[in-house]
Amino acid sequence: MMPRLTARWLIFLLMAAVPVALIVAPIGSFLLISFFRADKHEIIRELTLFNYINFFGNWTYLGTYLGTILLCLEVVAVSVLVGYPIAWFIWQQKGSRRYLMLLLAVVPLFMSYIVKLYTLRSMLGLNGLVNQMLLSLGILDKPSQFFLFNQRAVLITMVVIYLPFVILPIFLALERIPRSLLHASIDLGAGAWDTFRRIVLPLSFPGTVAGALFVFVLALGDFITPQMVGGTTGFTIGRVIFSQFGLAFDWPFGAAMAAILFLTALAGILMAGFAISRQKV
Amino acid sequence: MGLELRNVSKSYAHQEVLHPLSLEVANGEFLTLLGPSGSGKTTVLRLIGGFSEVSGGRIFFEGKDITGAPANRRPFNTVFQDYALFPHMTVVQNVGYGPLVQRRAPEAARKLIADTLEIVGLSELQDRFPAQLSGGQKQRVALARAIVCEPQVILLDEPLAALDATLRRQMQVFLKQIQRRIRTTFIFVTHDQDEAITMSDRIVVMSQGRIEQVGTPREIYFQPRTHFVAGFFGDNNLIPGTLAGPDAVDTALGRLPIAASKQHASGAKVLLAIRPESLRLGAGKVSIAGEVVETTFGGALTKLLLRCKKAPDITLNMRLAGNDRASVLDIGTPVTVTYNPADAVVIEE
Repeated sequence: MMPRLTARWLIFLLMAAVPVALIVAPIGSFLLISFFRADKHEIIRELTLFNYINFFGNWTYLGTYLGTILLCLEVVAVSVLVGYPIAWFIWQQKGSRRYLMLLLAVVPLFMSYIVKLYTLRSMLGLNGLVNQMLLSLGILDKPSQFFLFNQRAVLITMVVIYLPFVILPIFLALERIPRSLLHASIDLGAGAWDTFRRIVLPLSFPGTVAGALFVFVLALGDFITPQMVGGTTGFTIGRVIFSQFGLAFDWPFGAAMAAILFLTALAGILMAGFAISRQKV
Repeated sequence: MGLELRNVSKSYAHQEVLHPLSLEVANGEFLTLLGPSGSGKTTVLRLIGGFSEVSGGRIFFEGKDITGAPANRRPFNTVFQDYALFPHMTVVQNVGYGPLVQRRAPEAARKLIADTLEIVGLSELQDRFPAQLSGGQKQRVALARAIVCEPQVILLDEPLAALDATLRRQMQVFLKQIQRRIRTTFIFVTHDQDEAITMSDRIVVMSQGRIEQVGTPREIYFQPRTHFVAGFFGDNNLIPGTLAGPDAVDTALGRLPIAASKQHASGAKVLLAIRPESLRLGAGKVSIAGEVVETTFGGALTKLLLRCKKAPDITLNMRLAGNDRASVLDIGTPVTVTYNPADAVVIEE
């Protein structure tokens, strides 16, 4: 009995070693550094809350952080509002057409992130596709700077880039709904709207939350998109963290902000988990 | 009046899965569509329910043409094979779904739902979710959800297929009781012969997209009109032969008497069908000699398999009461059996 038990423990430890070395240890070291202090590019190794006090006491940082969360929530909301109908539409297709369309919807995931960013930048710019179209339709009489190098541009770009991450889980949730439930709903006298609202929507809710969570976490940590299309007003906490590490060489402060961002993402995950678990399926 | 199917057919991609068929169902009747898988019985149910469009023919209800009406505009409700309960709703919400989406007055609906739960015996479980119910309980919810809508016809698609044998028998009795109580037409689909015989007012036997025979359980069982129907219930004895006159058939076992029939011409190729329980030990007007090749004691009944002396390739199934001393026969024992000509049925090949 005993040897087998120890063998089991050994296997467990070996298996746990990989995630510990690759995930837990780096995060742990980050958290530790965030309690140190930087003095002229020198890290002073004594525990202090200096970085956290600095962050919450300074509106420049706190405001950027709150603004970033708001932006991410907007990205989530728009992504879900746009992605859900697309996923629903794909789900309504029959046979092989359905999977072809699904493939088309997720193809952007196989493309380079930077390529997508440049493409969007050129489309949203002064002489870009969007302005050209609005001009030729007569909606604008001169090219507008409305779409690039501001917070709005960050929002639009993030939604376009992260859309596949909402479409996919929502589609999978929709597809898991047995057809007989939809037949039963109609059989009991419900119209299309009632069936959607009372059966399809609640049953696809977990997938929708999963998609929203993906987008939220990805958008929260994204510092390249704001850098590329955000201009001066599209400043996010990701960019601030990046500058602390890359430009200011204040690693402890950067680590503290990264830790706060990490906890924010964790809170998002827990809230999503709570939302799903409240629903009995 | 009731429900009427007139020359209804169904094809998928140029393949006719249901050949034109006509059928009338009286109000309050318990009608069973019986057949093996692929016989088209579920297709008929789906056409009646409005889940599938007819390729030809028309469907009438109370004299009104409902062929083009969608499922939610027909006064029918379905109990699905996998129950199709809404997993995110409690029992009472599932049952209340119909009244809710049909915009019934909430007060009246509440009373109706409570009464229905009472009828199917689920009042105590009303706040459970489907995942917390047993198979039989789910079945009751599915039934309650249909009858709460007060439909004119309830369609049941192999509702007992997923239940174990004991529960199945209980549910058969239960379904029949409910049907008698609410006096609604039940159209029941099954592939189980015993289920069909014990529950139905009338049975529609189907095979390969066609109706083989329609009749009461007794008619279907004792007066099969086709080879398929004769062979579908129990281990019927089917002996090929030619009609030798109005009251005899020439077979490999000699000339066997039948009840006088004017339906078939002399010389016609026929099958003689004799139920295992119609064969008796002993000599009579007709005697068939043979020997026992197999005997199975099954409690109430003992099954015997006999090989005929005159034609060793013909075997006969026989049933004797288990408490009959004479049924204790060793393999190889020579026996003589007889039957009442009135119990023999002639089927044209």
